[in-house]
Amino acid sequence: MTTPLLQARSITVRFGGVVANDGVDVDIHPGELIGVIGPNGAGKTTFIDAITGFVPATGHVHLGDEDLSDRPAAARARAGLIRTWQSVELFDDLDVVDNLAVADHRPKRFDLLREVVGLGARRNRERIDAALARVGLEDAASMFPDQLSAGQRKLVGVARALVSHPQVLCLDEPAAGLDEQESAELGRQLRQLAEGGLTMLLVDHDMRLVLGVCDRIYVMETGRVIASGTPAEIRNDPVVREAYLGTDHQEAS
Amino acid sequence: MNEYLLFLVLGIGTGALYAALAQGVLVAYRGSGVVNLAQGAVAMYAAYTYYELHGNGRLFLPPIPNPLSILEGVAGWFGADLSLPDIPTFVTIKSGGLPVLPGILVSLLVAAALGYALHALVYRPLRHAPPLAKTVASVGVIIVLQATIALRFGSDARPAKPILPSNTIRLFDGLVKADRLWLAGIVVLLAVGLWALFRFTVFGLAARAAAGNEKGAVLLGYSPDALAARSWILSSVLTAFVGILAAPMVTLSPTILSLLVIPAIGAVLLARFESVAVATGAALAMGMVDQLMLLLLRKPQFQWLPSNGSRELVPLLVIVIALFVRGRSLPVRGSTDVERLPRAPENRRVGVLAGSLVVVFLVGQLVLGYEWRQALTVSAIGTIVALSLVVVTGFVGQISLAQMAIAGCGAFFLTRSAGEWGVPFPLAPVLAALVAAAVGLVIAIPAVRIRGVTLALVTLSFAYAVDQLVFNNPDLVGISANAVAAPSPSLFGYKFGPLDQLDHRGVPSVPFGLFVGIMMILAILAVVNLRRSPTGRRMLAVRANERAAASVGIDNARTKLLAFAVSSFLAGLAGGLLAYQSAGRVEPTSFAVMTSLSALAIAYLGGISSVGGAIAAGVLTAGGLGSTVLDKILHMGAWETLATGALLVVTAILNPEGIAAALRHTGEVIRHLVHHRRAKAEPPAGSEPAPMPEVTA
Repeated sequence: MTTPLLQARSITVRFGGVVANDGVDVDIHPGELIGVIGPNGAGKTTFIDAITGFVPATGHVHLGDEDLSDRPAAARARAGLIRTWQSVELFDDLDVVDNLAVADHRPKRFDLLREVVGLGARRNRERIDAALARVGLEDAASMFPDQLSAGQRKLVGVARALVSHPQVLCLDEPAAGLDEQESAELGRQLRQLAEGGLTMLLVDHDMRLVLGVCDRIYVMETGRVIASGTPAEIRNDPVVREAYLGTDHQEAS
Repeated sequence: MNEYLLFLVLGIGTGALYAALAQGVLVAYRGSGVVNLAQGAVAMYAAYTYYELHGNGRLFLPPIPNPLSILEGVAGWFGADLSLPDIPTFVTIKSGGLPVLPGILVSLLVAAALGYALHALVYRPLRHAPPLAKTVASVGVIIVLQATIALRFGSDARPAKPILPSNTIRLFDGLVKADRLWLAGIVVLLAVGLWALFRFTVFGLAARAAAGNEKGAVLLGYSPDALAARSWILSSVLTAFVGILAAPMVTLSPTILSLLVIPAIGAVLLARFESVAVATGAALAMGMVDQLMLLLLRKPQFQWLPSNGSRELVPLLVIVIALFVRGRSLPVRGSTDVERLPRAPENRRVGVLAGSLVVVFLVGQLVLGYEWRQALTVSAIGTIVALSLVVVTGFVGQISLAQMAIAGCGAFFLTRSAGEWGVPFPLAPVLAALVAAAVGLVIAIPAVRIRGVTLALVTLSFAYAVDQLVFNNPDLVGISANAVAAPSPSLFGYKFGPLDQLDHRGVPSVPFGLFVGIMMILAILAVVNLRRSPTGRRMLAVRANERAAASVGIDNARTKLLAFAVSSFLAGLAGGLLAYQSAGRVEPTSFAVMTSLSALAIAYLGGISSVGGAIAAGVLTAGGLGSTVLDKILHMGAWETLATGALLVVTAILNPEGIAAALRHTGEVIRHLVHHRRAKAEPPAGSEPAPMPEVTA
């Protein structure tokens, strides 16, 4: 097997006395679409926060050859570890195109001197429009976030992540709030991105989505990984059935 | 040794005043979540009220604009001299003066009314507004209160008769006035009272719950509104009481008492906006250190300390240390929802904008009389100052209350480099602006960790220190300092200072006016370009959402520092122009603390987040086009400062995008109406007309 693109080792997060992540190990290989499932409070979102640098955590994060463990969130994002937010978090003061442009552009030294005389870099419209087309929002380009529906905002968040030069893309509950049809469409899009070679980590409640599109799945409970494997293995894992599917069978089927 | 103890005791009086202000700030914050920068101004207002009552038996009324004075002004155009009745300014209660106790009681009633007015008219309408709007409103309150006092009593400091027993006591081989000890005792009693209030009453419990989350107070059956109203009244009365008693120790002046809020808030920061005891203790200690500094500055071994300004550095140091030691920002209050910041539109038709400005300046400078050309020049410099605030406050959302202090650093460096070291013209102002940028970067270091009103406070205390350290230091600035004035700007032997190339049109010279105009247009173009560049978009992204910005790889700290640097560069440029304007010297009054406050006020009034707003702010700058119109045409010059402050509060509440946006919206409405009228003739189009933009002016 190839070496993992993203290696997260013994990630531990404590909030006061609560251990939200307790020594979580996750490997993601290039081109894989990895799912993380678990009941509410299992620590899935905390895991994304931890590896992307948004909560203080112990443990190690390697992206390719780079050790990101001690870097701040922005530096991890620049290295290619990109995330989306469950709460979307768009830039309200920028229109949709500029929400993407600001993520696409990578500043260079002394840019400012060129910019104040009007010779700054232009928006890379080709890349931005391609990302918008991918999520079906070509028409929303010049709208502001507060003019969009909740679902559209979510998709802008995904498009913004796509133009942020991701090596590994962590999606935090992208299907939350979407109806069944939209969720299925999202699944097709994710599968397509994976076929295109993008490496992704998908955290979601929608079991059908996660089991349906992911290559491998980690199951978390109370901050620990209790099982991992292919969707088929997870479906038949007695521990998972006991711990998660058993109690929540209605939702899962 | 005893000498040191003596000075520490002497400082207890100032410390008690700081402590009372700190308690007032704390109570208001507990009850309403607002950090009231105007707390000192409230004390000042109450003290003036009392001393007027006690001395002359008159209650002065806040000025109410008299609509008739416009009629007088219009009549004045036609040479008529109308004198219409004025609204009374004083109400005589008892000729010859009110005794002490009734005087204090009436003053405290006035303070209570003022506190309620602050709540009902200013901070309640702003309860969901972003911190920027609240901070700006409190600056507006300071300006209104100060301008009121200046209108009624003039702005000179005056002595005040002591109220507390002022017999002297022998202590540590020296004489100490008893009133200081009395005051300290009173403040400690008040602290105990407040502690008991917060600890044992439902009001206190609700306030403590609300400090974490407004819903907490609601659950206790206390409406946040009633809670806030009571807190404001309590806070005002408390501060007013001690302010009245302490005024004899600091002399009465519109500015001195107002600015004492800076050390007071330093003490509240040390107490993390929680403990009354810590805030009171810290404030007392700061007062004592302040007096100790007085003593130390006289000692030969401390000669290296700057004689002027060292004392003012104490609050700055305390605030900065408090922020670093006691952790990050203020505890953020969980509120139901927070409104957005004003939009920062891109300028589309830059050519038209620049072209029309060129025409205005060319025609204006060549045709108009000296008063109007002077106004044009002042407005141009004011525009550059406002642009500097657009970058740092409008684009990145960081509140700077030190903009004129930074500009002054540029001015100061320009006079030194051009005057004494002979640095030639185009280089000297650029270097001065770069020095200002460096100063701005130093101030911005705390901005990496903090934001909102806390940052505003750091910048304000910086302005306070620099004002004394540099601009009021007779060794450095002013006529007595034997500094060489900077020579006029000149290129290829052609001089274009305000006093060069004079003709019959008088001072300032036409070439100087054009030079300032060119600098302003260049600054405008630079900021327009910045807004449209990737860096400008990053700045807006940081302003909108720092978490999201980090998640797409934007370095928040770097972006903020960059904004401070650019902003301070522009401020330094404006400072250099101001120095050239005052014949190559630094005019201390141009860079005083209050000018930094009004710079933010005027920039916000014009429109803090757009280039158009900066131009509007330039027009509104004191001594600029707006005040010349007010003075020369409407004859209402005396009202300008007051009007600025009042309009600022109204703007913060109703129209956070400023005058520029209001004009833009009005333009859109007119265009829409014209379009609509034309469309009436034709059958209705398929699409519905766009909803009418809301106009608030």
